[in-house]
Amino acid sequence: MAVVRIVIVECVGGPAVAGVIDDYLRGLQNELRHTGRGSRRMLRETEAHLHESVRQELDAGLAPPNAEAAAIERFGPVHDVGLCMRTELLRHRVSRHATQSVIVLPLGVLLAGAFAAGFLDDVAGYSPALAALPAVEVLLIVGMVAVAIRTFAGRRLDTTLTVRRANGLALLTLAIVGLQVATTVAAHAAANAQQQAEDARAARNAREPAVHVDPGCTSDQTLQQLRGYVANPASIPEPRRSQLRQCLTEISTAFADGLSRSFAGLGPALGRALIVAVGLFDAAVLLLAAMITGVPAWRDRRRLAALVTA
Amino acid sequence: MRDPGRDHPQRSSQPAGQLDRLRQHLDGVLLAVLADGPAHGYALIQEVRRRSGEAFDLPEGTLYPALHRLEGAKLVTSSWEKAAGRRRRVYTLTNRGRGALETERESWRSFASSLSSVLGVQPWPA
Repeated sequence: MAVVRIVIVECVGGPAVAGVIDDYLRGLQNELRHTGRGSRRMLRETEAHLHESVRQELDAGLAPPNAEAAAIERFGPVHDVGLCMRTELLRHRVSRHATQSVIVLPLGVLLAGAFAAGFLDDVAGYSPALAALPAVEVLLIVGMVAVAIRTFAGRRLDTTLTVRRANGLALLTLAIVGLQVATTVAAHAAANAQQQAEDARAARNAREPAVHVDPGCTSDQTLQQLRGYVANPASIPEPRRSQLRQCLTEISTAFADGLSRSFAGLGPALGRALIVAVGLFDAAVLLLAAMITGVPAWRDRRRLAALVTA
Repeated sequence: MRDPGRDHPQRSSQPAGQLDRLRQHLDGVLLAVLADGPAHGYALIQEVRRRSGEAFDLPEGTLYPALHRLEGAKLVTSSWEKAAGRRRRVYTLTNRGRGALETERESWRSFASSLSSVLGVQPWPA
């Protein structure tokens, strides 16, 4: 309401504004809600146009009420005109948001990808190419979505009535980037934990001197001897007893080491899986956004088609 | 002088197909009118009506979204001006707009010529 009042004050000097024009502008303002700053200019231009039109009608000899009614009638039904203006304003707005998203989203994804690649490469010898994979995937999809939005916004004006939902695309961008960074941090934490575990194991090994066993310990002959010892432990002579203990220690250490290496691979694998999952999530969300923006407003479609808009 | 009681006979009698065709060429129509000099919305619509021999009686409210679109494409520029105590937005054709108008004219000539040949009427321009 405030906008209408301000506009009327600014147009002092025109013909007396009757309630009819005031009501029309109020109705138009209502139609142009949530369309951004452009609506204010549309309202101003509409009011200036109506004043000019009324003045011409008065000059032509019409009585004021008839002049106002004629001006409004020529301008068009408020809902139709509002629909037409709203469509153009939203098209412009969506186009702007699409441009912002196209700039912000790839940058964010690339930054997050580089962030992930840098961390993982430094910490866990993680291939940067793997971290960049989802980023490339998202970039491609962003490109496709951008083309889709631009097409809808430029050629099929009626679809843009629902495209206002795409205003959330910029926020979505931030959310995706945030998620990507969070995933990277999680992967980094996993890699860090793995590194700490490896460090601890290395320190433990350093404390325990390496066991050097006679190579003959693993020969067939020794194996036979070992079987004999297992069958009759009391028959193990004292020097052999000590050697056998060392041999078993080495075997158990080697087994534990192998087991540890197997589990150690889980850290980077988990990080990789998380990043790929986020990439897929990005793709799904962006496709969803494209679907939302592509849904035509069937209710307004026919009405808009009947209007004279290019 | 307009008849106070008339209910826009031109618009109501205007064939729907004509409006459809005009819709496709509205940008070109507006650019052509602006090629003669800057104009505000009301003057533009009056000029379109006059040039078309009252055949193109657009709902005036549909003019402004088209002008905004042209401005967004940098084919026209606009600014507020004050005349006789009233403010109104005046639109001016840009160089880019002149180029677009020429393209539109060429496109129309080619289309009209082809269609005239197919329909078996005198090619335009004769």
